[in-house]
Amino acid sequence: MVIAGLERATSGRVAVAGSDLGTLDEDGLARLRAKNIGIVFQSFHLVPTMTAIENVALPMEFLDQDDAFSVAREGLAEVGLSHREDHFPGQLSGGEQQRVAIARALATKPTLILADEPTGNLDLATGAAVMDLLFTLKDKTGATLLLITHDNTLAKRCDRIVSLADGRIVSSGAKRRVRAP
Amino acid sequence: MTDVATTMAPPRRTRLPLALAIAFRELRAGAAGLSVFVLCIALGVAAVAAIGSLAAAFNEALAQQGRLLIGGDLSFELIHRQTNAEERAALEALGAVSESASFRAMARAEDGKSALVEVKAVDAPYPLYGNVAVLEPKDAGAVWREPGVVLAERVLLNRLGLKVGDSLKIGETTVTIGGILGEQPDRLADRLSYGPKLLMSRDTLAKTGLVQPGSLIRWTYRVKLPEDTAADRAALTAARKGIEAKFPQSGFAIVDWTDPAPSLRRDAERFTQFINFVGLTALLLGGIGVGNAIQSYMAKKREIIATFKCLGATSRLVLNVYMLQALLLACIGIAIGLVLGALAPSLIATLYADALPIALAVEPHPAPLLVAALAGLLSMVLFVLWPLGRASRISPTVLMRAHLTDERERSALPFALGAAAAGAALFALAIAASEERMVTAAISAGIVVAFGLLLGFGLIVQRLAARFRRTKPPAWGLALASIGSPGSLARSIAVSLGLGLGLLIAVALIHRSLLTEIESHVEIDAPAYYFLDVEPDDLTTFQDTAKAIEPQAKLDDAPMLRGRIVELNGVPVDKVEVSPDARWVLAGDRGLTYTDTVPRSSTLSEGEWWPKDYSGPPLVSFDGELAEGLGLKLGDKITVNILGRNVEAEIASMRKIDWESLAINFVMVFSPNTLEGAPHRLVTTLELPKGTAAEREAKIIQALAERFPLVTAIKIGDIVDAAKALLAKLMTAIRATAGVTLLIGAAVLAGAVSAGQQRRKYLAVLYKTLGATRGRIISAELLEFGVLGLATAVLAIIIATITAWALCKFAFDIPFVFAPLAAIQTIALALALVLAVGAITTWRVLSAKAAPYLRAE
Repeated sequence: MVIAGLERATSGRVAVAGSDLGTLDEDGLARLRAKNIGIVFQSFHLVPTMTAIENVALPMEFLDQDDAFSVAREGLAEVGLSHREDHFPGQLSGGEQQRVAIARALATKPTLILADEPTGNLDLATGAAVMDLLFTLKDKTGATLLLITHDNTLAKRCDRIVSLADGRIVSSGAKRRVRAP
Repeated sequence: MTDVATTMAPPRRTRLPLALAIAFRELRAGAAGLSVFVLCIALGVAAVAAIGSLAAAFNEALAQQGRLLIGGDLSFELIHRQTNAEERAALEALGAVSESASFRAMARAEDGKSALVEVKAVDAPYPLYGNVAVLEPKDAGAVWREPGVVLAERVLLNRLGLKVGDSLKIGETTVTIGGILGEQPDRLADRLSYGPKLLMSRDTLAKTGLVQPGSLIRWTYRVKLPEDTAADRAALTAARKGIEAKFPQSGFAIVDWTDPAPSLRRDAERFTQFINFVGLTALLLGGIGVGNAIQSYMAKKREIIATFKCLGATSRLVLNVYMLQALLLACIGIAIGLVLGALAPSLIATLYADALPIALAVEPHPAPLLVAALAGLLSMVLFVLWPLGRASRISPTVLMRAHLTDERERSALPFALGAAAAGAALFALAIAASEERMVTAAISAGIVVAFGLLLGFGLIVQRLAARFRRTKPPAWGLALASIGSPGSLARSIAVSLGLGLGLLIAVALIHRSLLTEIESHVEIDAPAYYFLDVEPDDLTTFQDTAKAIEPQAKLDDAPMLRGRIVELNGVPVDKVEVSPDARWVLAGDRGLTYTDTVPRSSTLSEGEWWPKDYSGPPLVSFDGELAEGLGLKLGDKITVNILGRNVEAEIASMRKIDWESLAINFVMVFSPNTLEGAPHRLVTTLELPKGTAAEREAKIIQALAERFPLVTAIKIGDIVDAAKALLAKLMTAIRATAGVTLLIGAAVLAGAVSAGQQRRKYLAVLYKTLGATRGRIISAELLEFGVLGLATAVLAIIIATITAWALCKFAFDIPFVFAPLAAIQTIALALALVLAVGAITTWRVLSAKAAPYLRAE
C-alpha cells in the first residue's frame, strides 16, 4: 500500500521510479501509478460497468494514450482472452477476471508490478496458470514484480524474498537464504 | 531525487472527452437508483415551468387578445348616463365608435318563471373587432340586430325551460329568442356576472323601458382607431390623454388594448406569487431527492472510484466523470419537466375552458421555461456538488479496507462553497423572476427555515427512539432501534412529506374557515334578495306586494347611485400610493348612498354624524379600514364623479362596517344634501323568515317581477354560490400544486428508502438467522414506518394549524375554524403513503436470500 502510494509512510522515505512519494499530493501519486505502477489485486477490482477491453484500456486513457484500445486488444490477446473483449466482468470466470486484471496492470508498460495475493481468490489450477502468465509477462516486459503472498512455493519462484511478521521484516535476501515467515 | 514535476509531466488540461467516455460507459451499465434523480428533477422543473407558463399564457393572452377583449382599441365607460354631444363628437373624432349598454334585468317566461340576466344592448357598428358566435341555429346570422329578437346563453333557456324561437318578457316588452349566444368579443369588459347573458339591439332596448334616469346602466363606448394609428402606442396614449384632458369631469373609465383588464391582471399576479411559493418548495424538495439519490449512487461507486485512482485517475477526472453523469441525467429530467410544464396551459385550457375568463395563449413560452431549466440546473448543482466532491476524494485505500466506512473524510470545503454559490444563484434567480421581490425573498427564506425545522424534528424523533429502543414487545423494540440508529429514516420522512402534508392541511383549514364564515352569516341574518332600480315612488307598493304574501318578510331600502372616486385630497387616484388591500375601491365605480342616520350594521368609529337637515358643504362618512388602506383621515377631501360631475366632499366620520352581513352596505355614505338632487333609484333588501318554502319564495318573486317589470332581483344565495364556486376553484388549483409537492415528497421518500435497502436486507437476514419469524420482522418494519408517518402527520397538522390560524386572523380577518376531518384525512394520507412504501420495502426485505449477505461478510 505504501509502495503503491495508497497509504503514506508515517516515517522514513519511499522512492518509486526515482520519485519521493512523500513529496507528491493525491493526484501526483495517481499519475505516478498510471505511468509506473501496475497493480494486481486479490479480488481483481475490475470496473464492473466496463467491458474487458475497456478495463484494460483505462489506465492508458488516463495517460492520454491515443492507441489505448489497440494496445489493450494486444494485451488481452497475450493473456488469451481475445474472445472475451466485450464481456463485462460479471460474465467472466474468476481466472479470466484475474487475467484481465493482469493485462490491465501491464498495459502501460509499468516498471513495477505490484501483485497482492493474486491467486487468493482462485482455485489451485487456475492460480498456477495465472502465476505462470504473470511471470512470463514480467520476463517479457522486463518489469519488476513485487509479489505479496503466503504461498512459499510461489515465493520461491522470485529472485528476492523479504519476509514480514507482525509488520516487521524478519529476513531479506537472495532466494537461497529464505526462511519461512 | 528527480524533480517530480518534470518526470511525471502531469497533463493538466481538462480531460472532458475521456470523462465523457467513462461517464457513458458507467451509465450504459444502468444507472440503478438514479430514476428517482430524474423523476425528482423532472417534477420540480415541471412545477416551476407549469406555473411560469400559465402566468405567461395568461399575460400573453391579455396582450394578444387585447383588442378582442375590450372590443376596440380603446374603451370608455360611463355609469348611469350616456355621453353628451360634445363628448360623443370627441370620441368620433378618434375613429369608429360603438355604443353599448350593459345592465342586469329580469327575464320572465310566459309561465311566470323569472331569472336574472346580464343584458347587453348594442348599436349597428358593433362589433368593431371579432364576431358574435351564434351556437344555434348555425345559420342564424346577425339576428340580434332585428328589433324584438335577442340571443341568450344556453343556461338561461335551461333555467326557464325555453327553446330557440320562444318568447321572453324583458322589462315592458316581449322578445323572441333568435338563437343561442356563444363567444363574443369584449366579454372580459363585462363584470363578474351572476346571470346568463342576453344580447339585443338598441332598438329592442328602447322598447323595454328599462332606460330611465338613475337606472343602473353602464354605457360603454368602444373606439376603433384608423388602421394607420391602431398599432401606434404613442397615438393610443395621445388619444386617451386627449379625452381625459378635455373632459376632466366626465367620469370616463378608460382602458386600452395594451392592458385590457388591469384588475384581473393584478389578481392573477398575486395568485401567481402565492403559487410560485409552492413551485419553489417543489423544486427544493426535488433537489433533496436528487441529493439523496446521488449520495446512495456514489456509495455504490466507492470501489470503482478507488479502482480508478489505483489506475491513475485524478480526483478532478473522477469529479468530471460523475458530474457529467449527473448533468446528463439532469438534462433528461429537465427536458421531461419542461415538456410537462409547457403543456400545462393547454391542459388547463382544455379542462377549465369555461371557467377561464380568457382563452389562454397555449403555445410554449420560452422565458418561463428558460427560468425553470436554469432553476432545475442550479438546484441540481446545489444538492449534488457536495456529495460528488466528497466522493471524488475517496481514497484508493478503500480497495484494501472495504470494511472501513468512515475513513477520515478529506476536506470538501471548495465543493461546499460551490454548492452554496449555486444556492445563492437559485435564490437570486427566484427573486429576479418575481414581481414582488421582498415577498419572494421572505418566502424563500421561510421555505429554508421550514426545511430546517423538519430536519430538526426528524433528529428529535430519532433521538427519542434511540432512548426508548429497549421497549417491549420486541417488535416495538426493533422498530424503535431502527428509527434511532444512524441510518434512520426519521429525517427523510419528515423532510420529504412534512411540507407537502402541511400545505394540504393549511389549504383545507383555510378553505373550511372561509366557507364557515360565508355560510354562517348568510344563513343566520342576511337578507335573501336584493332588488335594484326600485322607483322611490313605488317603494310602498313594492313593500306591500311582498308583505301581502309573506307578512313576516323584512324589507330595508336605501338610495343608490354609482360613482367613481377620481381624486384623494386633490391628487388623481392613478398617482396615489395605496395598500394592495384597498386598491379595489379605486379600481371601478362604487355604490353611493345618503342618509341622515348611521346605517344599520355599521358603527361610528371616529368623527361625528351630520345633524338632520344639514345644509353645509358636502360631507361623507368612510369605511374606517379602507380609509386606512387609502391613507385617509378625518377632514381629508375625496372627489367622486357622479353623473358626469365631480363632487368634492370632506370626510366627517369613519364607520366600522360588518361586510359579511351582506346587508345594504356602502363604503361611502354622503350627507343627504350632497346627492338628493341627483336622479337615482333605490336598492331594497328582502329577508324572508327562516324555513320559508321554495314555492312561497318563488311566488313572492314572481309577483314582484310582474308588478315591477323594471326592477331586478338578485338572490343572495346565488352570489354566495358564485363566491363559493370561485373559492373552490382557487382552492383546487392550490391543492393541485400542493399535491405535486406531495408527489415529489413520495419520490424522495422512495429514493431514501431504497438507498437503505441493502442495510435493511442484511439486518433482516441477521434477525432471521438469529431466529426471528417473518411475522415479527413484518410487524417491526410496518411499525417503524407507521410511527414515522404518524409523527410527521402530527407535526404537519400542528404547523399547518398555526399557519392557517395566523392567516385567518391577520390576512383574512375571519375566525379560524379547525376541521378535524381534514386532520384525519391527512393522517390517513400520510399513513397510506408511508405504509405503501414500507410494505414494498418489507416485501423486498423478506424476499432477500440469506446466503449472499452472510457469505459476502
